[in-house]
Amino acid sequence: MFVGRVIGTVWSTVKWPQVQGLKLLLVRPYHLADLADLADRPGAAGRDSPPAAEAAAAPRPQGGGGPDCEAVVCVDLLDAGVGDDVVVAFGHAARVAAQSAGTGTGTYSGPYQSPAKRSLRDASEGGPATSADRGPAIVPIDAAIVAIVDRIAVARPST
Amino acid sequence: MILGRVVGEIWATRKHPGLAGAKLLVVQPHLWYGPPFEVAHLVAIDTLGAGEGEDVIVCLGEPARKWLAHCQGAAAEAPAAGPGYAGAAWLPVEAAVMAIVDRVDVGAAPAELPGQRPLRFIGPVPGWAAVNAPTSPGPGK
Amino acid sequence: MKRGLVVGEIWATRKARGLDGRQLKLVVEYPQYPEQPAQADSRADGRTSPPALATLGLAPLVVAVDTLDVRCGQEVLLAYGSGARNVLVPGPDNRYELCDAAVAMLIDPEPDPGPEPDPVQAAAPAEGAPRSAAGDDRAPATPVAKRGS
Repeated sequence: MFVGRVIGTVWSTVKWPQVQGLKLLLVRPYHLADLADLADRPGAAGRDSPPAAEAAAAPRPQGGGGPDCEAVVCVDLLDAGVGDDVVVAFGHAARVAAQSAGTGTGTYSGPYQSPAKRSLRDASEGGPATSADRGPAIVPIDAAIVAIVDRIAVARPST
Repeated sequence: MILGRVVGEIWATRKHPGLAGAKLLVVQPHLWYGPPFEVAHLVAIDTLGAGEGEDVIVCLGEPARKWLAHCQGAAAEAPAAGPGYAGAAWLPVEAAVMAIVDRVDVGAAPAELPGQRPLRFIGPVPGWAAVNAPTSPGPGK
Repeated sequence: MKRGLVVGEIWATRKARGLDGRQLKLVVEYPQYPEQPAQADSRADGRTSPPALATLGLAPLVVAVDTLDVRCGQEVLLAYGSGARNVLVPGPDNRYELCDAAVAMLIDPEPDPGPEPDPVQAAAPAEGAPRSAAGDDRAPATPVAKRGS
């Protein structure tokens, strides 16, 4: 999981049917160098953060263009807006969160249900009673917003 | 998920049987969070008919595998071998085009984190980029 | 698994169902650049110290679920994926835990080795005491390495 800021929205008409109706947001991850300047923003607390000049002069990793090219397209589960600080989860955790949040084609608000368990239950009961009982559809996504940040506290680590 | 642009297509006659009939596109990411090694392009399965020069969203991991199995008619949710390994486990797919992008709204002010680092793009600056995004291409072009 | 340094904490009221009651800590991963060592810097006396703050400014910043109540400034080991789920709920039934990264271990700081032992005193055997356990006065066949040298 990472913390970042929502910087934009992605609109699309042609997409997978399982993700129709999901809002897609662009989130840019924070690094320690960015949190240094959040001390003055309301709702965030930063104290003794590393100086900006040192961090800007640091060597950058060589993967995918570096930290300045980082942004993730993720599914919005909590109605975040542009400019919010959010926590985003990747992979299986994102799918678990999407299913529990009741997004996708089904409406459900409960723990994650595996297709295996549902099929077994359906087989033992002779099939689901109604189409709504088939349980929540699996949402095939890779990244989802799982929390909207109230406060970040960053302390300077003592070396 | 990754936001990128289709820059080409791949044809191959000798390939894994799981990729039979699949259209492979070369996607250059505009923005990508931390791949473990230096990457300039990625190859994704396409079933939506994206063309060269279109912006797409690519989904990585298991959803790509299941989507291809679903398109090929296999029972993507069969409980045969247990959760997570049903039916689609043998398809060697890791990335698939999930959506063709119509529009991207990037706010000019939020895109620039406070202080020192404006947003940069891996490849050439796309048409929907913020007005004050720098035009210098990334190192991995 | 990655080694990192705890730098902060995150509080959120609006969050997904699976994160209820979880503590979220901010951990910066130690960078692994080709031209820099992956681990901490080594000093002249052989001890290691965490990387300089300048190199951590653009290192990956991870939000990890914390079950060990770590504090800022502590070095930790992060587990990702199913390993992270095992940290929260050990066993095979944790597939539906909402967790991507978790603090798996606290790395203790290296203890102070103390003053350097005097090599002359250590080499001279005690008077009258046999040098080997067998009772005879012969020196051991292989030289015994002294700890800390």
